[in-house]
Amino acid sequence: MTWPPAFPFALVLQRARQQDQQALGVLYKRFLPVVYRFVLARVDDPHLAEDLTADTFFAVVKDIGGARARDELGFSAWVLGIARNKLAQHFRRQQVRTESERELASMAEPRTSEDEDDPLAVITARESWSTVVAALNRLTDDQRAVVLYRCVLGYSAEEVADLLDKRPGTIRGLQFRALASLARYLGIEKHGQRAGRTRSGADEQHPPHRSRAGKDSDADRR
Amino acid sequence: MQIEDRLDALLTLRLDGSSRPSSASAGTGADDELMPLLQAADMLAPLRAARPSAEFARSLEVRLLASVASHATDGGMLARVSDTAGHQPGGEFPWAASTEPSMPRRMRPRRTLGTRPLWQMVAAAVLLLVAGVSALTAAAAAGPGSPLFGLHRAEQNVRVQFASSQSDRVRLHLSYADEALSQLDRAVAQQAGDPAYRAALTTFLTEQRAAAQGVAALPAGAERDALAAQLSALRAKAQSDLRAALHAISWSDRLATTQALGELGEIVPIVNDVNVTREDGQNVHIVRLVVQGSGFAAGATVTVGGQAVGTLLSSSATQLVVESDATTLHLPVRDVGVSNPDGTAALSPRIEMDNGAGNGGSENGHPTPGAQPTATPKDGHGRGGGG
Repeated sequence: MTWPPAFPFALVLQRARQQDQQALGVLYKRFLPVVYRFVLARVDDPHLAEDLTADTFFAVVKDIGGARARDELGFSAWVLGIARNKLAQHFRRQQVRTESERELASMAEPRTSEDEDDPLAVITARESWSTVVAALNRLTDDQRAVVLYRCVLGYSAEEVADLLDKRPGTIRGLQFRALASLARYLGIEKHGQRAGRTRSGADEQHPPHRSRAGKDSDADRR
Repeated sequence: MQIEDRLDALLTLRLDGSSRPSSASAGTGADDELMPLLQAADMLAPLRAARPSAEFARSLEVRLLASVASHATDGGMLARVSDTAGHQPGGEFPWAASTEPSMPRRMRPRRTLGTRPLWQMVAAAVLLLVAGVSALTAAAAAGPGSPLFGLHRAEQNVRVQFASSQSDRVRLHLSYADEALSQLDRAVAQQAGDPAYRAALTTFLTEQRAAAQGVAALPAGAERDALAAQLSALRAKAQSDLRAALHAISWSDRLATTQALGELGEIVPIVNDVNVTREDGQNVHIVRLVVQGSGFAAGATVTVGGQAVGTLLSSSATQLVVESDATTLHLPVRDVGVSNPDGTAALSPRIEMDNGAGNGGSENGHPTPGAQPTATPKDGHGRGGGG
């Protein structure tokens, strides 16, 4: 994400804190796809993702006066934190729903700019998409956050470290374990061997560099 | 390099799209081990291109900005930054703005007889296309009072026509009404006056009316209830905003706003008719106005041309009687109305002049053609008589 130099982020944020409509519009335009993709990775229904995205932005507009972020990355962390809370609320409400209702809500496929004109791609993706979301939801919170920030939102390992307040090495470890688990959940194997076990003890049970990143590795399981 | 760092490096290459792992490196044991992990990351590729629908993005933006409209200050600072940076002034998102092609440099057509008409047609088509796209893009951001606002409204109407369902049409009407209300608030905050205020008010009323009709046409159910609730909330906000605007707008806008409040279900003054009588004594010449209607609040005043006149003799919710010295209130009077203390106001559609008022009978204060002012004494008062 490259902020245009003509518009210093701090200036836009300052104006947005004062409820300046134009500044809020700039931030909205900038972070809408970020929030939407983050949410869509957790709920495989585009309409539900839009609803939760809307909830997130209304909370952003309401609380932006108290946001302590100073730069774009800090603001991203704050906004995505709100999105994460909205998702948590949604899943708490979801718990009271019946299994059949849940299945009805999980049939759609994310719109993409590339494949929307290709019916075969849409059908194929639709079949596999629920599996991907289900696999993502089986990851630990930290693993999922790292995978989403890194592989979906495109932040570097160093930026993800800033976003999650961890060390870059810890992020790479989490990333390794997350992708290994994801490959296993998705049934991606190499030479008949599950990917997550090719590295001895590399699964979540035995995170690498435990002594260096003990606090993160513990959180990893949580 | 540790395997986690190697994975990160390979992932960076994949995410950047600059290259995929080379065949040489992919052949190493470590990279073989990482291949399933990279493939798992690739499964997330659709998410990287996922985007919300344009309709949703636009609608949410409107709703968000509307929610802060009443607290918004003029966003002039960003506009100034934009100007100095060489961007289009007023452009909301300059770097993400329109990507339509700029006007092509004029190409010199060949003098070949057979190709010249083709060139002209192509050039004309390109010019029309560019002009059309540019105008539509500009119109999308045009507010009331802008010359392009009509085009903006036309575009909105087309969107409504192409909505996939009745409920979507209602949502669009609600969204446009909300947008118009925000523009009305901005016009008041910026003291923009007309035509910005009146255009925004007219648009709001039209859209909320259409939304109400659309809601009524929906089958009973949760969706209808939800949309009806949205409409009610929007109307409540409009009533509050319009009442707040009453003290900051012109007399004619107050009249229009009062009518709008009446349409939204508020009790507002309504004037049915006015009777004007002139009474002349030996040294006293008095004009009496009796205003009939409804919704007159305590403290209401009778106005002529938007200005309070006369001394109040009696008042009720349905009648006001004032008297004024004929030297200060000249006949025939026009634009007689009532102004309530809350700012609501109404004009009388009909003004009846008593013959003694010297106007021969007319409506709206306009002398009836051919009618001559009379000096008929009334109630024993002779005009200038008895001296």
